[in-house]
Amino acid sequence: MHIIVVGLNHKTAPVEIRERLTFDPSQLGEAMKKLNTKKSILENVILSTCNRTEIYAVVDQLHTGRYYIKEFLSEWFQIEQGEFSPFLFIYDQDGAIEHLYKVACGLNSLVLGETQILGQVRSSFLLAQDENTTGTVFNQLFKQAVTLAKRAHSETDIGANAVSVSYAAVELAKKIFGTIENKHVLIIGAGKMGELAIQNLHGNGAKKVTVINRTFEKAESLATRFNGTAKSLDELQSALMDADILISSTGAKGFVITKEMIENIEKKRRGKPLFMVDIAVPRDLDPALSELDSVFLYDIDDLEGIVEANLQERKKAAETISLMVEEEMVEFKQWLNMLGVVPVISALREKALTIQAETMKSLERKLSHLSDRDMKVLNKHTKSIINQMLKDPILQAKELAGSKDAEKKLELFMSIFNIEELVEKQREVKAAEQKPVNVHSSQPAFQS
Amino acid sequence: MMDNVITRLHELTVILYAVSVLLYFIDFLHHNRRANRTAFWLLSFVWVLQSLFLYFYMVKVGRFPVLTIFEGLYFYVWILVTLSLIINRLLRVDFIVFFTNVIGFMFMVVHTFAPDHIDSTVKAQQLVSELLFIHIMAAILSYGAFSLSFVFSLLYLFQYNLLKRKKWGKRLWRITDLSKLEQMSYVLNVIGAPMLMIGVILGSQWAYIKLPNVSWVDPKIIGSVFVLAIYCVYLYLRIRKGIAGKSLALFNIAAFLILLINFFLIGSFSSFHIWL
Repeated sequence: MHIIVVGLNHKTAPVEIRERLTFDPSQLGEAMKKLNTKKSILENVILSTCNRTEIYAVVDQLHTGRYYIKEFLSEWFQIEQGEFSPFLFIYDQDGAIEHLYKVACGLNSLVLGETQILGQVRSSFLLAQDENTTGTVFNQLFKQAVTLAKRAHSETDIGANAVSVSYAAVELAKKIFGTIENKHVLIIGAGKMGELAIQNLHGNGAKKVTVINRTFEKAESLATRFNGTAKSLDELQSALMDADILISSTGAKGFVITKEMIENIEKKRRGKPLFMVDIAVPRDLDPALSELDSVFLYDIDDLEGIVEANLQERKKAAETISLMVEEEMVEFKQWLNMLGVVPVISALREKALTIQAETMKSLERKLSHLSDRDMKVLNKHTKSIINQMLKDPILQAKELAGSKDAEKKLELFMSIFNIEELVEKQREVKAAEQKPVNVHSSQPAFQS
Repeated sequence: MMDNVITRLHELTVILYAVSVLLYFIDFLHHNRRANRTAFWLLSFVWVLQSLFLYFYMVKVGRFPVLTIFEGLYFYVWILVTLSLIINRLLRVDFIVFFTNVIGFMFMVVHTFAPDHIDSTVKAQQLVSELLFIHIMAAILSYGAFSLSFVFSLLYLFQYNLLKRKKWGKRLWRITDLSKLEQMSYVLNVIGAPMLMIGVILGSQWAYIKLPNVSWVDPKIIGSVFVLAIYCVYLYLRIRKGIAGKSLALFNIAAFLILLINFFLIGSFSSFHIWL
């Protein structure tokens, strides 16, 4: 049994390929069901977003697993394998587990640490569960991946703070005012940049907006769209009195607002903070404004500086999460190994109990004078011998499953008790239970 | 037996308090959430131990323990820990618990080394009255409120500097917004000032009844009235003049420093005040 992931994402494939291999959300369940009927596929979860199409599967053989997943992709999307194969990545076992963990934590995303992907991983897994395409292995693996991602987001700053310039400006304003909902926004310059700024602030709750522009009509047209007020450039000084947030983006050659202009009204503003962002080049706002206690002045370079600093913080957090991923992988592998030891223990018990049952039959034949009660006592005590004898070997088998070279050690264990065939039978039963819909399932060769 | 329990309890509290403040410091430096969580629970445990200590002490002395410097400092620290835990739980303001408990721990250390004067206890018991008790309680509660207000102003200035000097980093995002810091600082002073006023009035009345020969120009009385006046000026500037921001935060910090001077220095010149 192997875990593999076959897929393509923004790192491996251009958008022209990605868009052709994106699953329609309404057909995702059906796709998972169909894939599970393919030979070699024991469990599967398909993760399909705008940036990635990834198929996670538990397969009985690596080679056939890969082959049938590619075949499925080709059939489903009606594309020749040769067209998309060069863009596919394939990871198996540790690589696949690590990839899933990193994807869920947002370490593989275009915007490092974004949280949307966690929701997508979770909903894909839930859908797969509904469609019965997951089993013991993926139920554990995906639950662990979702839990790990949640822990990564709560214990580190991976998803915290702005990584885009416009969001950085809003975050900065919130650090001064707490909320921008009841704050008066003054936009100077009704061009494209002004429009983007107003859109962003309005989207973040700012309701009171004033637009000032050299051409009044343009100011009016922009202000009307956001239920704001338009003012002419002559009214700038009075508008500054009420403003809390000021975004300037005019094409003026000199400073539109100077230190003196604010100094003149500072007393009347009674120390009320004024958050100013200069997104114009050349700059509209006199840099000397920042000397005033109540003024918080930033330009586009400052905002980019914030984004860069936040990205660095996210990268640091990503390193911490990578360590968490490693720890989680060890834990999952231990669980997987434990899963491998279950058939061994069952086989050992089965063999011992068969011997006990045969012995009881023999006793029944040879000591026919014994009463039913005597037989019951004998049965109870012989079973007790079996249980006590097996207690230590079972504990040892569990220990072996969690140790290094678990597979080899378990093989030796099976060979000592001569239970290889019984173990194989147990595994077959388990595989059949795990995959009731797979009619083509070949005999799984369990590999822990 | 009881003495032994109280001593051990106190020692354990001091050690755990030190560890908690240390963990908060680690969190402050490196933003370590595990350290923060452990520190919070340790501090909660310290609060439980302090409460137990106060209870055992009350059982031992048979009254509310606020009548000597030894007792009062302990009660003040207990108030600080309580307030910081409540504020941290309700407002989730980062660093407030750390800074408040740096003050709290300092006072705890002062308390540990403060001599538990037998004389002052005897004197305290002679002079005890309900009036004195309410006077001390009001004063300690006002000191607690002013201490927290001071911490909020301190954080305000810290955050203000980060924003003005464009120091982008974890601390900028972790410390709450200027608006909330200013508002909390103001609200705590609104609570503290009338409480201090009640304390001063009741204290004067108590002195008038119990110590008829007390001089009304005693440094402690003048100092306390001066502190009260300063906080009244703060409220006047904020409410009537609408002054806010950095200057008001600086004023509040100065007010708290004057309060400390009044508490530790001016009190020692007093002819009647059994506290410092």
